[in-house]
Amino acid sequence: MKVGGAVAAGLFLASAVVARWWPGTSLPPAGGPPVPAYAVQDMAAVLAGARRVGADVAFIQLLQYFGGGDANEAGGKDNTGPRSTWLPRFLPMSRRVAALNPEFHAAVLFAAGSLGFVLDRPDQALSLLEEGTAADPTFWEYRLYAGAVAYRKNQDPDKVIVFLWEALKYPDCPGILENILANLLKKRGDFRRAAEVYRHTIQTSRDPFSVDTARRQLDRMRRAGLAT
Amino acid sequence: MNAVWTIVRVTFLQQVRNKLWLAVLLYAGIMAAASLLFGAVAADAELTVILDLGLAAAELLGLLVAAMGAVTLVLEEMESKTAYLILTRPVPRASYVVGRFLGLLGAVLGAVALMGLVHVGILMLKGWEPSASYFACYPFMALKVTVVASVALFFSLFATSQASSVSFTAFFWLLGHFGPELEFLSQKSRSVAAAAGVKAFLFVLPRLDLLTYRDLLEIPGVAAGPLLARGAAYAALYTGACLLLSATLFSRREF
Repeated sequence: MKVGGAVAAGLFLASAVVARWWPGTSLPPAGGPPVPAYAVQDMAAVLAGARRVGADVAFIQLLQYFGGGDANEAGGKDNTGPRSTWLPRFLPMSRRVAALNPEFHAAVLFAAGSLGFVLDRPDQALSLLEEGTAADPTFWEYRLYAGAVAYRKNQDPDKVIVFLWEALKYPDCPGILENILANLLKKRGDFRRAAEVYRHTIQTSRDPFSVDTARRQLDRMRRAGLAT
Repeated sequence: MNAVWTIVRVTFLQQVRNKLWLAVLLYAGIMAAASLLFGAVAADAELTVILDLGLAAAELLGLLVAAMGAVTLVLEEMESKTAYLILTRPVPRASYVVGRFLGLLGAVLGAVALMGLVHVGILMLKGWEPSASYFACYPFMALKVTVVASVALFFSLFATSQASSVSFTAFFWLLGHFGPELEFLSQKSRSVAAAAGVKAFLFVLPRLDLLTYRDLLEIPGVAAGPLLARGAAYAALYTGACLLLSATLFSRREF
């Protein structure tokens, strides 16, 4: 018994030494919860060793919030004030997704695009993209989107179009941004390229809502004789 | 050696006959439902969500089956007295424990591999392009299942009932993912005794967070190879310690 126990203790010690030698790849503690209401849910994901799944669920909750807001808070779906006052928890909920999975580029791009172009909060969009770049400096598309948001902030739609057109080439480009680009092109009277963007969305996007919107818009343009 | 191999083979068949395939069937059902649901609600992130969920579900089901199987692995044989038939022969008790453990592990890892095939099939149907980092998740999963099964086996021989063994295993499994946070808390603690207690606990706690490669997928500069080598060394040492303690406890049992 004593020999077995001593050898087992030695093996535990050796395993602890191997664990100490681990390269710094394990994710750091996520810090304080960005949305305290979801702290228990997020902690459960970390405790179950399912950070990425936790981030996926958080992203779906963000999409649901974006779709309708929270009936119990000011700034929900029925808000009649300026867009910048809509969905006040959108930024912390986006940060929550990024805190759980810093590599969830599609979620950060979607959130930054929504903040910058739909909710009229370009400063928040830029701060989210900065945090994303700090977490993963190799994902340079963040800088591209930051450029587009910065020009949007400075009311320069032509430059926004240049940046978003470039972003369109990458598979991570969220469907919502593709629709925004098409709308900007239509406003500038460039219907040929707008139709091109819609066709690209229909062919490549995995978001049924974006595909449906693109299809309807393209049909409308065809009926008006603005696209073939 | 022949005796161990026979015990491994019999345990493997016993586990397969215990409707282990139901776990695979359950997995296929979960994934089919998830792929339909997330196709509608996850917008552009459909593939990411199905990939993450599939890996997590395969691991969770594998761990559940392994933990439940390990808890009953020797206890049931002792209660039904079938263990006597083997132990009255010239088979060392340590060989019996190791053989039972390896048989269970073989069956569970086979089930996890089948779940992996189902997952790959669903992902391919959704237009996924296979990546090496995805397939690297499975060896890490196998290591994690091995460690948790060894912990469950130890508790089944240490604790007084199946319920308490399952509770202890679940407790270790949860805290095993909390290693960095526990270290962080011990550094922040002002009490020297509390910090020392946490550090001592970390010494026997399995570091499952280090084996959760699926949470490190796509992180630039994280290569699976060196991590897997370290993970294999860690799992071998930790599992070895648990099996040694289990064999020691079993050899002291009086029938």
